[in-house]
Amino acid sequence: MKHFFRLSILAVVGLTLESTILEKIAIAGVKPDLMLVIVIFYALLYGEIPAAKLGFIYGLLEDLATGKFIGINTISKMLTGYLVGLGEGKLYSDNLMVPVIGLFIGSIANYLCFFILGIIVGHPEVFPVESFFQTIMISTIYNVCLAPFLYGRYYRLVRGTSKRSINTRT
Amino acid sequence: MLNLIHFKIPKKFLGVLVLLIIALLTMKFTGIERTTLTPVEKALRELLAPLQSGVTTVARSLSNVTDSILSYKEIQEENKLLKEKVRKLTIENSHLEEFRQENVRLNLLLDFKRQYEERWEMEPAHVIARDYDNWNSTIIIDKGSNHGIKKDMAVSNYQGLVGRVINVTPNTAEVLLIIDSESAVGALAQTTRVPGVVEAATDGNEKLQMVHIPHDAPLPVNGVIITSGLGQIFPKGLKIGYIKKVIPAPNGLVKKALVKPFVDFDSLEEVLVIKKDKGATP
Repeated sequence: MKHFFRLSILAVVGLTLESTILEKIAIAGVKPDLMLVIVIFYALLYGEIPAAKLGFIYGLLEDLATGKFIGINTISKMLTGYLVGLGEGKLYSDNLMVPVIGLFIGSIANYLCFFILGIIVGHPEVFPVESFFQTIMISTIYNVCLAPFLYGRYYRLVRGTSKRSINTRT
Repeated sequence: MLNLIHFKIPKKFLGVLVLLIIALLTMKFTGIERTTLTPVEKALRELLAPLQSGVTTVARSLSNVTDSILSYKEIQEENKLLKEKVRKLTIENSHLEEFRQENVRLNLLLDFKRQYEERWEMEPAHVIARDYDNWNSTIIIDKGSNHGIKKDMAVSNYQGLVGRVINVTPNTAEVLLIIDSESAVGALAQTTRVPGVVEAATDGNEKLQMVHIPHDAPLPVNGVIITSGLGQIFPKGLKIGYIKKVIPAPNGLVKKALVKPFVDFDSLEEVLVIKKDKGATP
């Protein structure tokens, strides 16, 4: 129950921040995807099925908050959570390189999925091909850069453990 | 062939496939052309709105503070430039105000000169100095014998009688103000024509007093006092001041009147020296 409560709080905080102050730190109009970062971190700690579920819920919340193309984030984040979650148990989750790589792969997978779904639905004006690679690269790099700042905090919050250092050695 | 017929689709895959189809359909029908939101979407937005508002307000305040800190150097430079500009403009404004006031005074003086030029020949002059001690009330003007100024010429401005010339040098003249204790001016009340002598007041708050007035002479309070022309120094008809108060003398035979001068002796800057009475009637 405590776990569910923490994830709910994170969802509300993530949605609020994404629609407010993250706009202010956008680079070339691209801001970090906090909800995706949370899903990827969760996938690294809990595996593919819980991460897919969380990705589904977080994506759906994001879609509902956006009010457009409901399902696009739901599916993208669900599949991303599943994909990154496959690495759980095979990697040391307390190594800082793990979230970095997880965010890199997860971000690219998420945006590719997002883009493909957008193409299938057929709205090229909303998902322009020209800016796709620029957007995907900036978002990915942005998300990856958040790992050192957020992973340790997230680890402690979700796991509910006492303060412990994350191994920064590769 | 048999294998293909008995091929079982994994449940997980089937679930994802169904989900994907549902999602694609939902996406298709919730594109940008939507006009209404579902109750769930509305509820979520309502839930997030106060949080978004709070965060935006805090972020905006922080942004303002951050901007102020980041642009401190720039603001400091701008402040320095603006201060310099304000200083220059203040000086310029002060000069302009000075010119404006001088213009007003000169216009009034010119009006006065035009009004009386048929009666008197007048020489305008600037006040360049005040008396050196506390016992005399004199001024120095920038015109002297080179400009036709002579001793005992009356001096006036647009407000009224100022005094008389007592010393002359080629380019300056000393004027004894009518508020000096040495001064005495033959005067009369403009309406009742009661004569008297205006001199420096010995008591009360007023600077002048009119003396040698018979006890039964009519002297109205606020009545204007003008020069009488007797005594050959001050021409007739120059305004001196107005009566503030009439006081009977202790012996009961005469009375005196406290007179408030029209001229502001503390801020004399330009005057007219009456050089010659042309003899025209007022």
